[in-house]
Amino acid sequence: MPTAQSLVQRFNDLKTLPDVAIRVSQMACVDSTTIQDFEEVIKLDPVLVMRLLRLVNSPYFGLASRVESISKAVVFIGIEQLRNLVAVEAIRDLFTDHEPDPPFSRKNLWVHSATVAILCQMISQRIFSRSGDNAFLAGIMHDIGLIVEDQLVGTDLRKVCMAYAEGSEQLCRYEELMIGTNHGRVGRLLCDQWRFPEEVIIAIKMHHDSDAVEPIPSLTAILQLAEFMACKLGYGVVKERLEPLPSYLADHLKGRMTEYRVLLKALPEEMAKAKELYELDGG
Amino acid sequence: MSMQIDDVFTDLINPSEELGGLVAVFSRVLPGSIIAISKDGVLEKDSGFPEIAPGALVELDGSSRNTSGIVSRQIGDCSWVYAYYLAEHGAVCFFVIPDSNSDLVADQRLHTLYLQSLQFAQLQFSHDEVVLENVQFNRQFEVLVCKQTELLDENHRQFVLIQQKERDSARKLEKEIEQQTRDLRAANVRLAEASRLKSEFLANVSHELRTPLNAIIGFAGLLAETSLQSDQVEYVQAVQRASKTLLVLISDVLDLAKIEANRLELDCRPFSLKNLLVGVTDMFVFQAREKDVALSCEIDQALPPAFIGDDNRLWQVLVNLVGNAMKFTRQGEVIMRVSLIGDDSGQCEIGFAVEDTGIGIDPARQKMIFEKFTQADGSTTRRFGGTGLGLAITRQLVDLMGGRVDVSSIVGKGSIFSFAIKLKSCDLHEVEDFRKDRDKGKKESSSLDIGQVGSGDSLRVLVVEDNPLNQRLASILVERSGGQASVAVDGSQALKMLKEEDFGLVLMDVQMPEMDGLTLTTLIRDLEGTGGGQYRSLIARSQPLPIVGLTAHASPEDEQRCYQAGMTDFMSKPIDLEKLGRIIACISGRLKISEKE
Repeated sequence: MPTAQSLVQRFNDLKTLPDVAIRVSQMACVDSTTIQDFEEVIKLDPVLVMRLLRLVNSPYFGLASRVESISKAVVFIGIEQLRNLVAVEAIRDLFTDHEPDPPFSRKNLWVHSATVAILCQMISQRIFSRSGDNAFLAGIMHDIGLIVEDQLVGTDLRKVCMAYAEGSEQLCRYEELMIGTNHGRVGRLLCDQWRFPEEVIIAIKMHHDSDAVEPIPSLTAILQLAEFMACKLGYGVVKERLEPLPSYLADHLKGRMTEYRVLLKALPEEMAKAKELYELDGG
Repeated sequence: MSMQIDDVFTDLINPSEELGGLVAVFSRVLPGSIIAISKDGVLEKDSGFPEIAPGALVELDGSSRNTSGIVSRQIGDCSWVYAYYLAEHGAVCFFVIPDSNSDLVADQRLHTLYLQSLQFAQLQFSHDEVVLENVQFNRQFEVLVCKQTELLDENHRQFVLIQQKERDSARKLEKEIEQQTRDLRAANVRLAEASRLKSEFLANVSHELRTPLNAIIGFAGLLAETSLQSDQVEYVQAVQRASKTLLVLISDVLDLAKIEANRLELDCRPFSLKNLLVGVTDMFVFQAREKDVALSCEIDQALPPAFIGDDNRLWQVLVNLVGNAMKFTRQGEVIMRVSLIGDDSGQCEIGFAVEDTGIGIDPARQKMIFEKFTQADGSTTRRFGGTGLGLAITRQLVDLMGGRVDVSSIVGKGSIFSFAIKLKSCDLHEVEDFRKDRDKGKKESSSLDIGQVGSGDSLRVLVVEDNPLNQRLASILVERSGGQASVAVDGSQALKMLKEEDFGLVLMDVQMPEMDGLTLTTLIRDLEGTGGGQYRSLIARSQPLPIVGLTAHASPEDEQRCYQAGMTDFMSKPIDLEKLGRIIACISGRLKISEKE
């Protein structure tokens, strides 16, 4: 059975992820990187340049004049949002189904990931008054491990999903049994290479860990809350199944029920906005 | 997106708990009443609500859902239960008002009052949600404000970072430039030194070549004067011609070396242009007659008679060009044209052109002929001889004079070499004055017109010369001229001999190892200044001892240096027998020096 390490190694060998994206992401965590340095790398990827300029020129930024230069765009959106944009662009194409092969669907997973990402950002901002950039990143990347598994051990992953849909155990448990690792561990190793912030990597690794008690608000807690709500709303990985929320998070949710209710009311609007900004619409 | 927000939390919360909030709100508008809210028409046992038959409650629940108002039902003698449907929550609010003995909603005004109170409570409940929404907006706003600050900070950080990087790269660049400048300077110094060494080497080589060559020329001259058979005469003449050609070639190489080392300076003085041109033409008259080529010189009548410039170098240029034309012309003519192009208050531009009807030069090769050691093609050298140095020197000399040599030529028809230079015009008497001044300078240091050793006695001549062949040659020449030669091989021996013997003339080689002729001459003049001491050759003289410099370096500068050192006269090697004879005769009292020129 493969380990998370060997899966990631094989995935890297396939060179599926664009080099530009990984470089930008790695540069984002180095303090001495200048905006010119970013520009030098970004301009190698015309699609990325186009998305970046579209993002910064969207009505949500409300800029007085049109931005045409890469470095100016980076100034306006900031390095964290640039890193998020690059991550979305890098993985977007991975979430397309060549042909439907239930019970696992990459397209469903994309909708799930996008919903979780937006919820993470909303919870971070609306409930905890925190910047939502890292939360968004954790949300959009949290199930990337499943894509790796689908690409390398797709048949096994389908068996996992089947067993999960009919069984009562957690998804990770079936992965451990049938694949030998779980998508949290795989995703975490992959994100290590991108040099994402520590809290993002921890959240991705632990998002299915129901025994953990993380402080509120930690990114892990936010990601688990978002995952729970997305599944409840019908945007789960495998639609029929829902994993219970760790009890300390359930208590938190109960205590601020009305607040979360208000938050969910704003979700459609936020989804529309994200669709406009990142074109996050179902793959 | 199809969303059932309430469904999201159903697993988490007790429905009655959720509705508990509503109960609290209603209690505030219906003080003293007992309130219960139910979604399914069933009330919990411990809710404190009065006992009501389940059937009655269900019926009440049903009828309330069908109206927007409050419905009522009497449950005892004097108590009523009221029900109001909360459409938004899908639940019904039941309440009783103790101590009232009539159906309150039967009264239209009371019904309206209660209904409005309940609706107000409901609005208040949703008002709480709006307040929360507002709170969330505020939090989002805070995040945005925070983010904006971060962006500003980040921008400032970037500004500082880029500034720092630019400073660093500027510093690095400066260092690189400094290093390169240092390297270039060092390379320049090395090159200048190499160039100096090259020139020195060429000067030395040329001297070393000239020394034996002078001996060859000298001895060939002596040989020619012995009685020889006719074929021997021919051989000697060949040796003489070849060695003279070689001497010219060595001079050319030396000139070129000087020009390239930027060490050739023009020696400007007044001169007569006509004399110069006649001199050049005269040089080739014999050759022209021999080849049957017409040689002529056309001088623009508008030209002033005299100019200030380096006549020696101009002469060299013209001799080169005319010599070249003569060489490549087998029949026809060679014309030298000189014209006045412009005259700006004495600053004249003079055009020189040498025209021939020779073999001509292919256009493709016209540029190359000015390069060193290049002729029109390899076969030219075989047919016409020459080294190809002449035109290179000519071009460089004309460059030095501020002109440019041009060539136009048609193969088989002939060539025209032309150039124009600017010279300041002057009067002929200035030329004359200059000549007189120069001669006077010579005479001041010269005393050859007196100091006879006594007529009849042969003049004792000290030959100071390091080269054995030249010692021998000079001795022979001295004796031929009626003198008596003794040889000193270096400065110290010369001094010793001057001390012990009485000489009437010193022939002094200028370039010698250890002490050169110039230094030795200065030393002798100093000794004379202090009365001559114990030097037999120096004491009891009314005039200084005549010293004639001998050098292979025949340039005007060399001559000047000899006079400066205190020499009486100057002769270039190879020694001209006639001139030597005149000098010896003059000192011996047979001739006045003024007749020597």
